[in-house]
Amino acid sequence: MKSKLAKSFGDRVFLVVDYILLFIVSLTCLLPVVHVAALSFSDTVSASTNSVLFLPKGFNMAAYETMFSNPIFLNSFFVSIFRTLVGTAINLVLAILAAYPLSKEDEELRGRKWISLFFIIPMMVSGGLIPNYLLVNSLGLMDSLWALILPGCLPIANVVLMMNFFRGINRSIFESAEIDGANDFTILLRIALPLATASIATVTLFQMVAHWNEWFGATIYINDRNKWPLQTLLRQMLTSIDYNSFGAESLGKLRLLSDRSFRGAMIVFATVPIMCVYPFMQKYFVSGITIGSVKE
Amino acid sequence: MAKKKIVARILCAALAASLVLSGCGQNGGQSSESAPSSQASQSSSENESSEASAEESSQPEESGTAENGIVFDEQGRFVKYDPPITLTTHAVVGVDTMFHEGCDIENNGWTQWLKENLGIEWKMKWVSADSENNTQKLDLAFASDDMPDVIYPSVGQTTKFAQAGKLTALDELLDNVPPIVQYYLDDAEALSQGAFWKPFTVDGKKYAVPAGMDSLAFWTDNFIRTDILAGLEMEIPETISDLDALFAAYHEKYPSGRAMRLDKDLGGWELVLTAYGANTAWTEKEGKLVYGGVQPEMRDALAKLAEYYSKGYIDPEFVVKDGSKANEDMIAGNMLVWNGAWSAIANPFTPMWNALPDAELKAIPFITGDDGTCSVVKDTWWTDRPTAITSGCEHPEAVFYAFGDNLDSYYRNEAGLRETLKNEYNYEMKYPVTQVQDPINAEEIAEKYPNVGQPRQLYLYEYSDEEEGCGYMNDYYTQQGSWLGIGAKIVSIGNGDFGTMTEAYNTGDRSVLSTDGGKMFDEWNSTHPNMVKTFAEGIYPYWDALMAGEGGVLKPNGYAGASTATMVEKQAYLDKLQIETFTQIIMGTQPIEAFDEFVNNWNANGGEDITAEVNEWYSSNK
Amino acid sequence: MSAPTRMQSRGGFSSYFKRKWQLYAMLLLPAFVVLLFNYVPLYGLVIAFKDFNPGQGMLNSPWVGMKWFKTAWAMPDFSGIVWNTFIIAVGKIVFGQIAAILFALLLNEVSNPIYKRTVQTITYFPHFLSWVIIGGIFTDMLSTTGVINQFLGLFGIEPIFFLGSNQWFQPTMVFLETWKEFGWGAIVYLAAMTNISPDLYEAAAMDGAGRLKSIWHITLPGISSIIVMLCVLNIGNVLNAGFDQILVMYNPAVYRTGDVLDTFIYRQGLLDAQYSLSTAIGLFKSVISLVLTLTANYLAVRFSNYRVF
Repeated sequence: MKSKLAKSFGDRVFLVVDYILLFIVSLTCLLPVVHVAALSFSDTVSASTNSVLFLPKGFNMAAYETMFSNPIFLNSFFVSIFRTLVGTAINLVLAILAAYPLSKEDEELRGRKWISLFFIIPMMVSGGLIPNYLLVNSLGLMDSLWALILPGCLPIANVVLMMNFFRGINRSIFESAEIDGANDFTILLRIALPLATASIATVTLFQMVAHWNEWFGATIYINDRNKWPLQTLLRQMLTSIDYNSFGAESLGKLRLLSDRSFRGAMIVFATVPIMCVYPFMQKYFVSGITIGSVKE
Repeated sequence: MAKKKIVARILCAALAASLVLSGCGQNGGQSSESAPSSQASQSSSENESSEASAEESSQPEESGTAENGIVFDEQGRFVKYDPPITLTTHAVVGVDTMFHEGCDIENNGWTQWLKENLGIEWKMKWVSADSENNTQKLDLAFASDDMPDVIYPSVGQTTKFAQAGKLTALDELLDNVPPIVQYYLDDAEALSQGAFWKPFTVDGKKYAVPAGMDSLAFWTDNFIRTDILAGLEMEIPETISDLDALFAAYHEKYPSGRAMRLDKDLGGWELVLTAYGANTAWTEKEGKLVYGGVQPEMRDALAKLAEYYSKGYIDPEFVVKDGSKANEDMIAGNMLVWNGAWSAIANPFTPMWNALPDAELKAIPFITGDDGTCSVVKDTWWTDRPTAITSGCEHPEAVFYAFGDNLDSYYRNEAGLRETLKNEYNYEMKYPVTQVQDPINAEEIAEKYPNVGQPRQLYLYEYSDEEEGCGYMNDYYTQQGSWLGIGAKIVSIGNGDFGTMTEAYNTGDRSVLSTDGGKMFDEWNSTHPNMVKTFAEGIYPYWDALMAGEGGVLKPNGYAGASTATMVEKQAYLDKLQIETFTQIIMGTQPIEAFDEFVNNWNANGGEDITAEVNEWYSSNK
Repeated sequence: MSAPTRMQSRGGFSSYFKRKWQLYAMLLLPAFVVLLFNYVPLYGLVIAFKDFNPGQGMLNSPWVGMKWFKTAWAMPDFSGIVWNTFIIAVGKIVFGQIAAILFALLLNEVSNPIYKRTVQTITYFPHFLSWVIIGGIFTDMLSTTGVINQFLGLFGIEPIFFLGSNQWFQPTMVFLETWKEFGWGAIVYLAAMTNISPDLYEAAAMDGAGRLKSIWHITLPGISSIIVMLCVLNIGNVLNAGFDQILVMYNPAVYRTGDVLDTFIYRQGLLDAQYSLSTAIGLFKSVISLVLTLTANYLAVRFSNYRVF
C-alpha cells in the first residue's frame, strides 16, 4: 500500500532490523502465556515443584475436567459475556453523545470550557467506597448486574480520546453539511461516526477489555455468586489462601486450591476469549485509512 | 418492567442525592438518613413474598405450649416459631463449594429443614468467597448502618461495633439458653481456662459467642525429613546446638538445599524463635505485659537467623517468596526442616509425597534452648469466628434455639454426651440415636464430579420421618457451608475426634473412631495414607502433651482487647518498621546492632504509648 | 477564526440556541449519569476532615479539620512513600509512552499484513495477564539464578538481585510495566496513524525521502496531537505507581524504595478500616492529579495551541 518505488539500501536495512526487532519483542510477550498454558496441561506434581517451563509435563486435561465439572465456571462465563456486551454498548452510546458536542469549538458550543471541566473532574476525584456503596444500595441495584454496568457507564478517559479523534476530522466537511441543512444529530450519525471508525473501534476494544477484566465491583455489590463475572470468580480462587483459616474439615479443599495446574486452566479459560476479540476489531483499524483520506 | 423500576429508582435517588448535596453545607444530619431508610423498606417487602410454603408443613404440636409465638414441648424444650420468623446474616462460602442442583447457601436441605421445622428462615445479606472480603463487607455494612441481624465479627470489630452501640449485649440471653448450649459454653470455658469470653467482653458485658471448634485449629509444628536425617546419620535435633550441627552437616552434603523454610512474611522462623522464647505477642513479664518484638529474646533469635542466612542454610531470596513459593523447595525434596501450620499434611506435604514417594516426614517437638527450655505463644482458637447479634435484631433468642437444635441433632449419637446432659443438665436430647449411615449417592457423586475437593457436601443421607432433621445434619451443612447462627463444635468432643483417629491408627481398630473422626480418617487416608501417619505419630501426641500443660511451654497471648487509640494511628508504621528491620538483619544488610535502634524507634514512634494502653487494659481485666 | 465569523456566532442567545440546541440535548444523558454516579458520591470526601464514626454516620461525625492530613505527614515514612510513588509513576509514564510510540512506529512500517497483525496480537497478550501471574513468573526469571541473570552473565555481569535490592527495585518495576503495556499502549497510536493520508507518504517517497525521514516528517507530526493528549492525561497519573504490581512484587527488603501511596492506603484503609485517614490521603492524591492535569492542559493550549479537553 505504501510506496511501490524502488527501495533504497538504507530502507532495506531498516526493514530487516525492524522485522527482527518486532520478532524478538513478540517472543518475549508470548512466553508467559505459553508458560501458563503449559502449566494447565501438566500434572499437579510437576506444576507444584515449579519444573514446568514452556512445555507441559505429564500432559493431561484433569484441570479442565475439574473446572467444567463445576457449573459455576460456565455460568460466570456467560455473565461476563452479557456484562461485556451490554456494558460496552452503553459506554459507546454515552461516550459518543458526550464526545461529539465537546469536540466542537467554544463558539459552537457555548460554555464548552465549563462543561468539559464538569466531565473532567470526576476522572481524578472520587468519593470513595462507602458513598458509592450507599448510592448503589439506595438505587436498588445491589445484587444486580446493573451495579457493575451503570456506575461507570460514561468512560470519561475514552470520551477525551474520542473527542480528540472527532477534532481530527476536517471541519469543512461539517460546515458544508450544515449549509445543506443537516442538523447535528444527522451530522453525527451520517458523517462524524463513519469517519471515526478507528476511534470507535479503539474505544470499543478498551471498554470490552475493561469490562471483561474488572473483578472488584462484583465482590462488593453482588452477593449471589451465580451472577459473578468470570474474573471475579477467578480472582477469588487465585488470591492467596489463608492456611490458618482452614480447619481439619477442609483439608481436601486446600489440596484443590493449591493445585497450580488448576489455576493455570482457570487463567487460560478466562483470558483466551477476550484475546480473540482483537483480530475482529483489526478490520476497523485498517478501514480507517481509506476513509481518512477523504479529509484531505 | 424491571427497566422501568430501575429508571424510577434512579430518579428517586437523584432527588435524594441532590438533597444530600444541598444539605451538607449547613446541617446534613437528617438527609443522610434518607438513603438507608428507603433501602430498608424495600428489603422488608421482599421478605414477605416467600413464606407461604412453610405454613403447609407445620403440624400442630400435641402437648406443647406457645409463648409469644414460640412453641415449647412438655419438657420445656424449644420446638418452633409459629408464625415463622426471618433472620438475616452473612456467610463465607468458598467458590469451589458445590450445592445440589437448584440449591444455594440460602436455599438447601438444611435451610429448608430449619424453616419448616423450627420456623426460622435465614436470609443472606451477602456471601463472600474469602474472609478478607467478608471483613471488608462487614465494615462497609457497619459504615452504612446496614448490618444483618446475626454477624461474625473479628475481635477488633466486636469492640468497635459494641462501642458504637450496634450490638446486643448477650448477658441476659445467656441466662436462658437451652441446656445443651449451656453445656457447650461450660465445656469451652473450662478448656480455655476462663479466657473464653475475654476478647468479646466490652465494658463488662459479653457481646459475641466464640465459636469453639477444636484446640488444634491454630497449631503449628516443626516437620523434619527423617530419611535425609538417616542419610546424614544424625539424630532428631532437640536443642538449638543440635540444630546448628544438623544444619552444618546438611549444608555440607547438600550445598544447594534449604535447611529450613523462611518466606517473605518470615513464616517459618518460629523454628528458631521457640528456642529463645521469642515471639511477637504480648506476654507477662514482672507483672506487666511486654511486647515480644522488642525483647532481648528476639535479638538473640534474629542473630541466630542471620547466622543461618549467612551460612547459606536459608534461601538467599526468601524475601521475594510468598508462602506457596517457599513451599516449592519442600515439594521438590530440597528442604530439611519445615515449620508451619499442621494442615501442611494436606499441602505442601501431599504433593511432596506424590512427587517423592520415598520421602519420610515426622512432626517433632519445638526446638529448645541449650538449657532445655522453650516457649511459644499460640493465638486462641476460640477467637476465630464469634457470633454477635446486632441491636436491630427482633429475635435474638432464636439464634440460641437454632444452635441448640443444631447441637442436639449433630451430636445425637454421642452416648456420653446424652448421659451427661441427662444427669447434670436435666436435659433429654430431642433427636433419637440413629444408625450412622453411608451416603446413598456416593458413587453418583464420584462419577459426576471427578476431582472435587469436597464430595461430602453433595452427599445425601436417608433417615426416616421420626428422625426428621437428622438427614440434613451431615457435617457439611452444620459446620462448613451454612454458618447460620452459631456454628460451633463442642470443643472437648472436637478434640476427642483427633484422639480417636490417633487411637485407630495405633491399634488398627476402626471401631474406636467417633463419627467425625471416622469421616476425617477415611478422607485423609484416601488423599494420602501419610496424612494420618504423620498426624498420629507426631502432631497429635505432642499437641496433646503440651495442651496438658507439660513443661509450661504454651503461653497465652496476654492482650486480647481491641485496637487501642495509638495502635489505630501507629500500628501500621510499627509493623512495617519491624518487618523491614528484621528482614534486613537476617539478610545481613544491617548488623544486629540495628535491633537496638529499632527498639528505640519503636518506643519513640508509639510503642511506648501502646504498651501503656495495653497495660491499662490488662490491669482492668485481670 | 476570522473576526466576522466570531461576531456572527456571538449573536443573540435564543437564535444561537435554536440552531444548536441539539448539541446540548446530546449532552443531557451523559451529564445526568456523571452527576448521579460521580458527583453524588463526592459528599463522602467530608470524612477526610472528620473523625468518621459509622455509628453516627458520615454527616454527623465530628469535624477534626486537617487532623488526618497532619497524621499522615507526621508518619516518619510518609515523605519517602510519596517520593517513591512519584519516581516510579513518572518512570512508567515516560518509558511507557516512549516504548509504545516506538513500537507503533516500527509496526507501522511493516507492510506484510499477516506479520503485522500477528505481532500486534501477540504483543498485547501480557496486558491481559494479572500481576499475580506475571509476578510469579518474573520472581523466577529475575532470581539471581534465573534466566535474566544467566543472560547477563554471558557479558560478565555479576548476578543482580533485582527484586531484593533497593538500588534495582524501582527500575525493575518501570521496566516490567513498560514491557507489559507497550503493545496495548500502541493501539491508540496505531489508530491515529490510520488517519494519516497515504498520499503524504507517496509524495514524500517521490521526493526521495527514506523511511526514517518520512517517519520523522509525516508519521510523528500526524500523531502529535494524540501524543500531547496522552501526555496531558498521564500527568494526572504522577501519583499512580501501579497498586497491583507493587503489592505483588514488593517485600520487606525493599520497603525503603518500594512502598508507595496505594500500598500505604491499602494497609490503612482496607486492612485496618481507617476510612478517614485513607480518604484524606486519597483526596490529597486526587487534588494533585487534578491541578496538574488542568495545568498541563492549559500549557498545551498556551504553547502548542492544542486543547485536550
